[in-house]
Amino acid sequence: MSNLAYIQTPLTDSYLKNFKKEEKDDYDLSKLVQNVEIVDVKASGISGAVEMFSQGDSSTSNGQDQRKPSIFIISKEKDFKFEVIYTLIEEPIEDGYSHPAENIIEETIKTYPLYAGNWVQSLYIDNLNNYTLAAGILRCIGRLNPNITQPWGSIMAIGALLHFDVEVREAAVRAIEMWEDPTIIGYLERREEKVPWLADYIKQVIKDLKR
Amino acid sequence: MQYLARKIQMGRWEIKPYIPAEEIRADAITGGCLRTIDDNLSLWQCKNSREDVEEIALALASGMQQIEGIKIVLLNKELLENSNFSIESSTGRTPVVDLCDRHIDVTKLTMIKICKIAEHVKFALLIASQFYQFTKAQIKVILCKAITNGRIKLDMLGKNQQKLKDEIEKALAVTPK
Repeated sequence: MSNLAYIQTPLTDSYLKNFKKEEKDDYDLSKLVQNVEIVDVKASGISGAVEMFSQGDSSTSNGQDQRKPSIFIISKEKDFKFEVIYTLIEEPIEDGYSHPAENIIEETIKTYPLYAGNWVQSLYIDNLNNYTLAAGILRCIGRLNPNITQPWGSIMAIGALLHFDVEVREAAVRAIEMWEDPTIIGYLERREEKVPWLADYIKQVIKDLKR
Repeated sequence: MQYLARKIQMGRWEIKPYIPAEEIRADAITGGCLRTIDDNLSLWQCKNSREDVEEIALALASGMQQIEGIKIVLLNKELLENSNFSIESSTGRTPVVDLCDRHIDVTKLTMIKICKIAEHVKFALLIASQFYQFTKAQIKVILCKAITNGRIKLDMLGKNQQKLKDEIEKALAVTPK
């Protein structure tokens, strides 16, 4: 049995159903949300799966960590990723207007503070080649209070400054701008941006942040 | 010369490697930059000067839910009129009362017509002087100035603009009088 599992919930089922109906073959949501293997919990014979938190003793005779990832947490991660991607596809990000994905991310960070940062980063990495989605994730992170998104938020944005797609690079600049964090200015200054309008924007953001 | 301003997401107008350079990305139209309501496209009249485009930035930003940088493209009004687009004045939805009459709608749009407008946007973006960017800090200054001059009152902002109100109040508190 795989040590990665996914509990089918009504929520994720309905997302998949609606998604497949509306988007047909344009997107395969399971491809957008990677790194979680789907296991049929009933077929795998796991009973009381939700109660299977990682509670066991990690020490074993051979010294290896034998703990299984919590099925409950993996299920939540899957739901979270589905919800964020679904809302980003449903509704484009618009400057100055809040997006439903922001609330989903914020609430998840508050509810699962130990895991959510990894989930967001993993979702972003899963979608590195889906530029608009990757940019959307960064824009949402940029709109959240930096107190709940740091340090992983800054790490994501700094890395995204080097992305080959201008939409993602712009989203990274916007996130840094939104946090008003002067400690990241150096990364903006070192960025040799080739797209003229973004280069101009970066120059102005650097000026703004230095004030 | 009169221009018509529209807020856009510049990234959506950047051609991707898989799209020929002379084309326009579908996301530029379907992603919100040219979103229509009742087949009308909302635009704001202005002159092509930073000072006047700032007025449009104020009209747009005062309707937003949070302070964020915006990008504005200017379309040549005469070119649009000559292309047989129907242009009608309508009251703009902005708390800045003296800017409401700057609003116009391009009406009776069809998918073919909206694609033609997209071509106008693409053409305008090739001319650097018809594209303006405002950072978050610049928008903050524009909004604070409008509050100080009495052009906007915070209680005129809508219930869904609480975050914007809080951000303006915070900015006003640190603005030297």
